[in-house]
Amino acid sequence: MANKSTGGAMNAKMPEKILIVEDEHMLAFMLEDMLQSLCSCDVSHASTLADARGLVESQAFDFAFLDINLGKEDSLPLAKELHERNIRFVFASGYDSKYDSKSITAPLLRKPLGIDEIRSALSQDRPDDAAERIGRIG
Amino acid sequence: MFHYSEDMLSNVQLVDATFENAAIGIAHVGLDGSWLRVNERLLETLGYAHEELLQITFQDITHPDDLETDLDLLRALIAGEIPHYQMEKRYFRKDGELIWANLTVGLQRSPDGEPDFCISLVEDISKRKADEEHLKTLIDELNHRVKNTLATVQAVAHMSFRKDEPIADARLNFTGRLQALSSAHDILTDEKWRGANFREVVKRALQPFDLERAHRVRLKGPRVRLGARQAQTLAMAINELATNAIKYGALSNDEGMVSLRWTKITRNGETFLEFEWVEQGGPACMALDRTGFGSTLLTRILPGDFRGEAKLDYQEAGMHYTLLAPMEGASGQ
Repeated sequence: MANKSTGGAMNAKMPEKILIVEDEHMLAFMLEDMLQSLCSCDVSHASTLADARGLVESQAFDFAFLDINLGKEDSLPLAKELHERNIRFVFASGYDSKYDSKSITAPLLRKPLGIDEIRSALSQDRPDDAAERIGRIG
Repeated sequence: MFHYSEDMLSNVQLVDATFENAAIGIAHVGLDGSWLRVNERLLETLGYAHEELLQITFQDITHPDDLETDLDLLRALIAGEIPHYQMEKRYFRKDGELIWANLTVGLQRSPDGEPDFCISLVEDISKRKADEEHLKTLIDELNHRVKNTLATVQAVAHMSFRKDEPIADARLNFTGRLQALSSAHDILTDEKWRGANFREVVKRALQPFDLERAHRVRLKGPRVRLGARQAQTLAMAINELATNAIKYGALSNDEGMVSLRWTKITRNGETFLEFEWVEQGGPACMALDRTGFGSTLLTRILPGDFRGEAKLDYQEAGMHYTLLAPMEGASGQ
C-alpha cells in the first residue's frame, strides 16, 4: 500500500489500550480482530453508553472507536468525555447525517471499515492528517 | 345561481361565478400585500373569516423562511422583470397550523400600463408535502439498513475467510450465512422492520435444511417477539447449529434428533428468555473449533446482542447449547 502521508505528517505512538464502543457485537468482534492484526494492543468492548463510561472511568485507554448510533442512544456524550480526558478517538458510522457533534471535531470512518483506514486512524495524531475517506463531523 | 348554457350572462357575472366557485384559493392582492378580494376556498384553506383576512396582509401569515423569496419575486413581477411567478410556501392558518401551498401569481395592470393588483392562486399541497416527507424518512431508513447490512456482510466475510480454512469450504459456509441473514431480512421486511417472532425466525433459518419435515428437529416454545438485530443474529446462529449438527452431530446419522426449545422464565420479578438447542442420538460429540465463526457467534455474538449469557456443552448425548437473556435484551428494548 502506498503511504499517502507526507514528510510533515505527525505520526502518533501506536495506542496500547483501545476501547471499542459498538452495539452490534459482530462488528465489534471484527474490529477487535482487525486491531489485533495491526498492533499488539489490549482491546475492550462496550455496547452501551453506560458500560463504556464505566470502562473509561476505571481503565486508562489511549484510543477509542465510537460507533455513533448505539440503538436507543448515541455516543456523542462519551466523545465529549474522551475529549476532556484527552483520549484520542475516531467515530465509525455507516450513516450519520442526523448527528451533529457540535463542539467536537474528530475523524469519521465510514463503515464498512477498511484495514488501511483503521491503521491510519491509529497512527495519526491530528485528524487533518487522516486518510482520504476519513471525514469529519462537527 | 345561473345556468351557463341557458342564461346569457354578462362577462362580469361569469367571472364572479368562476372566482367564487373555483375549487382552488383565488385572491386579488394589493401591491402592498393586502388581501383585496378572496374566495371561499381560500378562506377555508387559511382558516380565516372573510372580514378578518381582509384586515391583514399575506406577509402577516407567511412563514418567515419563505417571506423573502416571495417578496423578491413580487418585486420582480411589479418591476416587469418576470411575467408571473410560482412558488411552494408555508402559511400559518388562523388556528396556528402550518400549511404548505403552491402559490401562482399574475399581475393586473391598469389601462395606462401601471401595475394595479396581483391575481394569486393558492393551492393547499400539505398532503403531498407530508407524503414527500414520509418518503424521505423511508429512504433515510432504507439507507441506514443497507449500510448496516453491508457492515454485517463485511464481518461475516471477515470471519468466514480465514487463512487456515480451505477456500471451497469457506465459500460454501459464507453463502449459507448470507442465506440465513437473508431469511431474517425476509421476515423483517414482512413486519416492516418492527421485529420478528422467535418461531418464525427459527423456521425460516432451518428451511434450507429441510429438517423439520423429516421430524428431526422439534420446535417448542411460546410466542416471543425479537428485535430486528436479535432476529438476524439468531437466524445466523441457527444456521451454524444446524450445519454443525448435519456435519458432525445428531443429524449426521439417521436417528439423531434435535430439540429446539425456548421458554419465558421469571426470576426476582424479571422475565428472561431461555433458549436451548439439545442434540440426542448423534455420534460422540466433537467440540466446535473454538476460534471458528460458529463458536464465536454462539458464545460471544448471540449472547452479546441479546444481552445475556450462553453455554456450549459437549455432552456424551450430544451438543447442548443454552442462551439465557432478559426479555428486554431479546426484544431489543
